Amino acid sequence: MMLVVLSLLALVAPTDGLGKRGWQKITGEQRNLTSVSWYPEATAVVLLHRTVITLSDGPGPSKTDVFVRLKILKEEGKSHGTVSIPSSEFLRLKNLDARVVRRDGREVRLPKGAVFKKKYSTYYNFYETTFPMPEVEVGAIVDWRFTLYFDGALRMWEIPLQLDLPTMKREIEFFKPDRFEFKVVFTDPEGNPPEHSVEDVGTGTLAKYVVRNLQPLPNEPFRPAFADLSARVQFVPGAIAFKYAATLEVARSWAGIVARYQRYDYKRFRKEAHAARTLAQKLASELPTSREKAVKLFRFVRDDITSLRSRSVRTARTCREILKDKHGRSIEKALLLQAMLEGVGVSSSLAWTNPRRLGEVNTVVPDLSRIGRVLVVAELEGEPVYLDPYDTNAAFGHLSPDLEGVRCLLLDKEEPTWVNSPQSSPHSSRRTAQIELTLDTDGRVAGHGSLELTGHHAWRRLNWEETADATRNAWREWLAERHPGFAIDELTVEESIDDRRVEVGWKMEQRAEEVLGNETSVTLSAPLGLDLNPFTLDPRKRVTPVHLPFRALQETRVVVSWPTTWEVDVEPSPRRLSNAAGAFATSVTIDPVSRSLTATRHLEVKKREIVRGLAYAELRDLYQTVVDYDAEVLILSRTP
Amino acid sequence: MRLVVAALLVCCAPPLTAATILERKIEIDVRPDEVRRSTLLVVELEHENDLATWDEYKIPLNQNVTLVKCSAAVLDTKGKVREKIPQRRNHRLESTGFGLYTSRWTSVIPFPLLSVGERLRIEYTTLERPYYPASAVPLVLGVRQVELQVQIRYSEARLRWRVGEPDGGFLVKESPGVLEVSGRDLPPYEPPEHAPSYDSAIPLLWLAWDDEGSWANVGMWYDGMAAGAREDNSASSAVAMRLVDGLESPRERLEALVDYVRGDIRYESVGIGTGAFVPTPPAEVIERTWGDCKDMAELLSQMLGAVGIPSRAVLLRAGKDGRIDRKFPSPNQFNHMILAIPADAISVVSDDPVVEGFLFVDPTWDRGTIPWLPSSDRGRDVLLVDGADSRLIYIPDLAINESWTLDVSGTLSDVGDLQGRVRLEVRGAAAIHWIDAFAGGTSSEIEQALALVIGEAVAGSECSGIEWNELSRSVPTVELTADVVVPGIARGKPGRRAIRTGALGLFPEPRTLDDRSLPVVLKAGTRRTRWTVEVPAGWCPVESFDEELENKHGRIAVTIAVDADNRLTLVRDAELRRSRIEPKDLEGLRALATAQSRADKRHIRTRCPETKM
Repeated sequence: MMLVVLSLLALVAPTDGLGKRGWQKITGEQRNLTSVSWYPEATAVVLLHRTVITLSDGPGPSKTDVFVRLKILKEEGKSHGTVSIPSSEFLRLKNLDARVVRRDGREVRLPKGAVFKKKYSTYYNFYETTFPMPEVEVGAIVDWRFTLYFDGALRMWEIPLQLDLPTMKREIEFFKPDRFEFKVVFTDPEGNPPEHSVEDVGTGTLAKYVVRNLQPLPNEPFRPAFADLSARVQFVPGAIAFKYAATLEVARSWAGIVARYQRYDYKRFRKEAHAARTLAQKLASELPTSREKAVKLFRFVRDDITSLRSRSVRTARTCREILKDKHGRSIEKALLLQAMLEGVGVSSSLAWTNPRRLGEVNTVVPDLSRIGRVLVVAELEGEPVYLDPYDTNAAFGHLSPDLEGVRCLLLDKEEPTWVNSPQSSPHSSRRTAQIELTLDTDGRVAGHGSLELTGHHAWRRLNWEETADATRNAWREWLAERHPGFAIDELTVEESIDDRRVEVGWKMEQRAEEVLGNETSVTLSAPLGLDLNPFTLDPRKRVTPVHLPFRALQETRVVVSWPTTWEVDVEPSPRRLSNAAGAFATSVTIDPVSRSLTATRHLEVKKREIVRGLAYAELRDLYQTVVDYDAEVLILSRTP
Repeated sequence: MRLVVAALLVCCAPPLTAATILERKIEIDVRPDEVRRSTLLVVELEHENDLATWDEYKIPLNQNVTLVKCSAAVLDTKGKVREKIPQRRNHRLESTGFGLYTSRWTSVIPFPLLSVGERLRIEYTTLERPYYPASAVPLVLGVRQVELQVQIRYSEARLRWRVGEPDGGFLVKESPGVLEVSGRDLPPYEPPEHAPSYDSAIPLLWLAWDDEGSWANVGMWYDGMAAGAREDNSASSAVAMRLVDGLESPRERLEALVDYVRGDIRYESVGIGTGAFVPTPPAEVIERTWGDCKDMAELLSQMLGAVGIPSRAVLLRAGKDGRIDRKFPSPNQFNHMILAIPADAISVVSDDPVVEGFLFVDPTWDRGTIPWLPSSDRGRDVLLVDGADSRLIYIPDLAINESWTLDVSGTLSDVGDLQGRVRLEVRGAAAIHWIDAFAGGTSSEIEQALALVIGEAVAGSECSGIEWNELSRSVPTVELTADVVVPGIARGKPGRRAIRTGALGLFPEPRTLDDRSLPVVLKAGTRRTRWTVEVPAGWCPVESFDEELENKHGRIAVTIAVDADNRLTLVRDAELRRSRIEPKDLEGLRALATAQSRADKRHIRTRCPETKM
């Protein structure tokens, strides 16, 4: 990562990098290119993608000029001749122009009437402008350019550099007027430095970045968020200087942003918190301990205030309004809970954070777009207790997997403080299945089973469907898929959010038409077995790290008994593997006296985040061992 | 984009979900030139999830359907109006149809934050000037309806109507100039696995006020719509003549012109106003090199005409389930167009898709040759557009063109591990989906996807050296090969072992066919799995068995043979002949599905003869 703070100098306005002066000349190299040596699968390649951001210091809007040059390499790449550009009321699309240069050098311009604009979101007024380019052929070069105008220059710019096509050259230029202070942050998880320069150009500063030969990010299973994987450049607004007034800080630091929110939005919210404090005291009056009071209030805010989806940490509402309307966004529910805790004497702090799937919060770059959830961290018996009143499936003191082990900014400390949210142990997220099956003399298998989910496993299935009946049906379907050939009956489901527990019980009987008569097989890993190893890729080829949802434990115990006229033909061979990624162990015990077999299967996933190389190889081995075992079955046959 | 949804009408609103509709009242006033449709909905929000589902309500509109008036209100739990939403607050969403762009748009009623127990009252009226005098009302939705009332007044017009299948037990009353259809406590449409698409699975009230309902009329209507585009053939003729230069036989000429349209014209769908029905003039399509199904079909038709090969337009309902209601002629039922060429105009070969004397060609697929007609055009009635002779033709499924073949060959070690090669060949539409999915993907992405495909058929397998290629065949075909290791594929004790073999599945799990009133929609096709395994010397003989079941829906057969070198060959064949199986025919499908399930559970066993002492 590299940080560059632009200096505030210069007198002359920048040149328009992609003006109306015609198209860039196609070089001989571009014309002759037929494949990409470092990405041979490419059906099309971006020869040049150039973005020029010009911030305005005057009455006119700021703008982003974009120029893209693409080459079609294969027949399958011709679909890239249809281009879509997103825009909105904030980013207004203008000056769209495009052309195709065919193999023979003939230029075909984008015809009039061939540009189609869709409005696809009413809430944010998002548009998509699409144009199918004419006469696209293999070997053709497609050029297009456009300008996005916008108001309000002082915003955060985060530009991912990787595209969905291989890109030979990616250029970013960023011009800012002198009185704007911006911090530039370049990040490449692979550690490749960009070519870059910063120069004074007239009335401001121009920063240029060039990155070459960018591969698209592979879509590998359990890869981290795109936002964390992509090489990117961020332009972070620090401050704006005024001629006759003090410099106004925009986002120089996290502390500055927090202070602003505390001073305005949150102060206003808390101003009307009296009713919340009174209500809290009333709700918790009978409860003796601070913890019990906190639990009661947490459940009230979680369950009685409907959660509204929004990532914003801003609020224009007040505590009183939330109580009256009975619905609130993450920040509003957190503020309400904090006020109510205060009412019963429990101190707490708000914590800004971001679900892991949406990308890490950077403690150095003050970027509010990377904050998507607000937690409350209460102090109870001298320990911090993390609460998420927004998540209607979260128990007191427990977070969803996506919020575990993520960076949190505690706002209500003397100084905003970074901490990591806690991570639960594998043993707290457990799936335990117990099955008892009996084979009758006709070769039909029947029995019963139970499944208990705790921790994150339970969290995933709590309130699975809208009604109890629908949930039972969903479980029946889930079990039927994992026990093919069996009818699932007498299904019971019990669940508790606060105990983080789901319990399922059922009876099962092999369908009559599935009975083979002289042979039967039982899958001893069901219903928790794995059909496929998601990590089949050779460790040398895996590009991205692995982010598993959470650490967890699985336990299966299956007991099968059979009559005297039947015997075990084949039983699965035991497996045992333990490495840094996890542990897998099975056992099969046959009791010839009672004619029964007991099989146990234990899988523990110890690591949640796995980098490439050896760690990935161990994960792959772990899952392959599991899949190998799970593919084996117990075979019983009628005695000759 | 090859499964084209391109041109004609969409008769149904999308299914609503969750909540309960307490009252749904639709009044349709059919006048000679326009239709006024008023809709009233009263919706009860019963669950927290309903709040997000119903935070807005969308009214589909287009240039010929305008919103005359609209009002909505939120009623609190006591039934009092909490908030009114006047029409001026509606949003507009552009191009809400399929494809790159359409002139369909949606007026969106934005509701404020809602609470469980509240009710929504939505009332709106549209004025329609349909391109074809027909319409349809979905009688069942994805949400429970307590009371449904549909009233059609048609005093100045002659009305044709039909309540489609399945039978929903609706009450129908007809009096002079008025048709009323009503129902109470209608359950939501909750599609089971392998269900038909929504609008062919629910009962629709079909309406038309044309003079006489016939498929010939529909064909003539389409010919009329397309007439303008057919006027000038100079550009297409010039291109066609250039392309067939030196080609003598009609067959070669047909192939050259089909190759041109498939290869040089990119599929893109743009439907603006009548453009949803009227093809773009071929000269324009040639110039811009893109178009939708009717553009490509009309261009091909015009070029064929220029070189002396006649052709007819063919309308059909593309996709997984292309059923139309034969008893209610109307263009509303179609969404795709292909071409039919009189078989006697060219020299057809035995594999060609010829039905009732016509060869069918779909120019929107950019792979395959003339003998291959994609499965999304088969197994359905299509309308041959031929003036007053326009008529429905049924194009049957052809299983052999949509096939998967898996070959696993290798050697068993003494401890029962298999080491060998695997080869998978996929033919038909699935091959094209693979090619599209992998186009431009990284080698690691492709390798992972392919490993999963093999892993599904050969449980516990580990693959390496995976490669895939597109093969040059008349039917689009891809081939995948890899080295494979399957640890512990043979287990047991000497004298008594079991070898686990997997196979490509074709039929659904039998349980999905239980208690079913809707047809089953699958993909017709074949699957062949062949294991060729060298068994270690000294192992006991393999117990061979043959099984076969065949009925009108398909076939499943398993054979095991062992040669003198102790090489075991297991072949499992499965064939599904029809893509749609009606409820009355489910037993035949169930028999095949059960046979597949039983075969999945059976192992190859080695047994030494008992030695008597």
